[in-house]
Amino acid sequence: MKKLGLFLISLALTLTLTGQAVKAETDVNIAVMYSVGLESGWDRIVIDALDRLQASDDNLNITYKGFDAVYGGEAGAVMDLLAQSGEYDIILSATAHSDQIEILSPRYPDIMFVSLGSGNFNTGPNHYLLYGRVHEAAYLLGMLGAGMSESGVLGAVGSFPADDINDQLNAYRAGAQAVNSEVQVKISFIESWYDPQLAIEATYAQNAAGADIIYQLAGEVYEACRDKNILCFGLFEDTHKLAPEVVLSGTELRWDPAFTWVLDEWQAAQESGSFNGNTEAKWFGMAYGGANIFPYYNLSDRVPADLQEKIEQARADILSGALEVPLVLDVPTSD
Amino acid sequence: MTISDYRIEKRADVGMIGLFAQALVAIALAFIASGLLLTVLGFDSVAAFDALRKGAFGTWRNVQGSLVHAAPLAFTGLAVAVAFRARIWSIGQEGQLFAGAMLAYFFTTFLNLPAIITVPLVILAGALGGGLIGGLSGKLKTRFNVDVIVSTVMLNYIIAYLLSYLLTSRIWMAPDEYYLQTDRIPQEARLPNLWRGADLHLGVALAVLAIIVLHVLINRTTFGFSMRAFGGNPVAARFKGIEPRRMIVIVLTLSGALAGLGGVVQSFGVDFRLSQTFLYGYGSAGLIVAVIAGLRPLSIGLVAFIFGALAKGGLFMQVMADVSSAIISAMQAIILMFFLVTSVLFQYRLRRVDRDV
Repeated sequence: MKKLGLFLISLALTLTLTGQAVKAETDVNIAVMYSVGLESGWDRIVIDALDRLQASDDNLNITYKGFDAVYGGEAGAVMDLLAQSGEYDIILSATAHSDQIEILSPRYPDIMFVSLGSGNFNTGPNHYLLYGRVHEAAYLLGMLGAGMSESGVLGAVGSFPADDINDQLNAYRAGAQAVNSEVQVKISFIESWYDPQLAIEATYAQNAAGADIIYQLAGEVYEACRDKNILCFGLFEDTHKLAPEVVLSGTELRWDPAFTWVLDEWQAAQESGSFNGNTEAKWFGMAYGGANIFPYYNLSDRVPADLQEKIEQARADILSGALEVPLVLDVPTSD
Repeated sequence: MTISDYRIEKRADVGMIGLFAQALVAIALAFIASGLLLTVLGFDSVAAFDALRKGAFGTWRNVQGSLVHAAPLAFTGLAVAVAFRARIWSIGQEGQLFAGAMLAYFFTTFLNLPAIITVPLVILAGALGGGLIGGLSGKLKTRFNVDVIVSTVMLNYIIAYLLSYLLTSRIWMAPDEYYLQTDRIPQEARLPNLWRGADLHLGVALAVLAIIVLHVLINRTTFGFSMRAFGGNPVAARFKGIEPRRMIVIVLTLSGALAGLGGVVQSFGVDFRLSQTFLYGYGSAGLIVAVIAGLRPLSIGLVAFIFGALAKGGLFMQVMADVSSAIISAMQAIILMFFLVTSVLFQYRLRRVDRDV
């Protein structure tokens, strides 16, 4: 009788202990390392995508928390602490933290590290690389710009000649040339990832050189567009509301399919016990819902119907695979 | 009948024990004040301080992290102490730190030698880079009578902008790099870890060594005595045979070399790249560390460790207790304030005086 009692007690203990020890495999907690902070569109779209997945994913219970932008040794220390705390399953860096992840990924093999954008390299099986390619959308903007421009000169204000900026600029030109083979594209790099003031200066310079449509990739330039009464394209997120009279459209980057893939990989690793990180950054284009262009809103009646139709056709062709926008990473030159 | 009376008197010397007591009182007061600040701002101050303690000392790895944070601060602190003890007001530690890291990096761009040769070379180059800039300020003073404060501050800007130029002009930037930072420092030039699996690197050991050497140099050698004598009274020191021009150049070179080593320790031990943002702020932090430590090398080691722990623990507090980084900077300022207040208070004592009536 005594033995049975002991057995029952130990059985109960074992059950409660194992019950506690195993965290539900559908709970995933993500630490987001910002590149600048929530004032930057690049960081905001990461959070927007996580919010959408949180609401739509019935399979996983997603929670996340963002952390102040830090770089170098300090970023390494912060990510080390996040990993050490045991609270996070995924550490998602929105910037170039691979130097630091190189030290941390072997130290915390059960944690998944994800790096977004250029400047990163794989550091181990638990390190995943993603690119946010919107070159297909930039191609459509090029078509739209060339069709709308009166001067036949388009402008683009880039940040750095990084390969995830070059791809957009090259596609922008290719799209413009598809509509008007004579079109010129003025390109400048302001050598900063986000600096609206500098970008505005570059916009004035491009406008002075004839450009009457500007694609901004390094900070909102709408003040200059309003001043010069020209149209502008935004980058990554819908900025129409910021300046409804000048923002015609913009490239949209939706991390949703990329994050879904990463979360699937994470779940697979929970079952198989090993991660399978990628060395070549993965990206999900328009056909996967990873990119698009924004609607024209109130400016829609200024876009000729046949041009709208042409762009719709091109979008449909990209989605169906009939049109493949070339991915060109060479540094573009200004016409 | 006897009446007891109390008088405030100035102490002749606070002493090592007094300094330690002062540090304890200052830290205790600073924590009470920071706790109030946290509570007023709506944070759980107990949880926040617990996070701070865990982050700084919770595990052996975290203690190592605190020491790694402390190493460059110890070097810039020592650099300040050497100059200030001789009453030469050099505030060029920031520029000298940059110069040390930059000269060392310059050698790694073309040298391709095994670690056993490269690492000592890198360390020497760091001392040389900082020392040259310090010595330049010294020469400017002795040759052209340029004020040391002015020349060192100007050189801080010049060196920082030189790094900026070398990066933006892409001389030091890899062709496929878009962040303003150099290419990675090659493996054989990095300061090795002290043992397998350790986070402590050679730079931390160098910092400890520098603290001991400077302690002996300042307190136990003829040079140290001459230096202090020069600081105390340059005119009298000259009659004792101390050449002021030589002294100024030597002290500033030594001070610069120490700051330069701080740059190497941070860049070659932690960051493995050079960038303005990575190296920014160690000069001014070194000034604070040295002043709090009363310009004594051993105390500088202790204060640098406290600041390193605060930096490391502060990160943990930020991450785990959701306390924003701005509050951590405020806490550091509060600690400095209480150190300055208590350092004045501890120079005095209350004495009971008995009077017969």
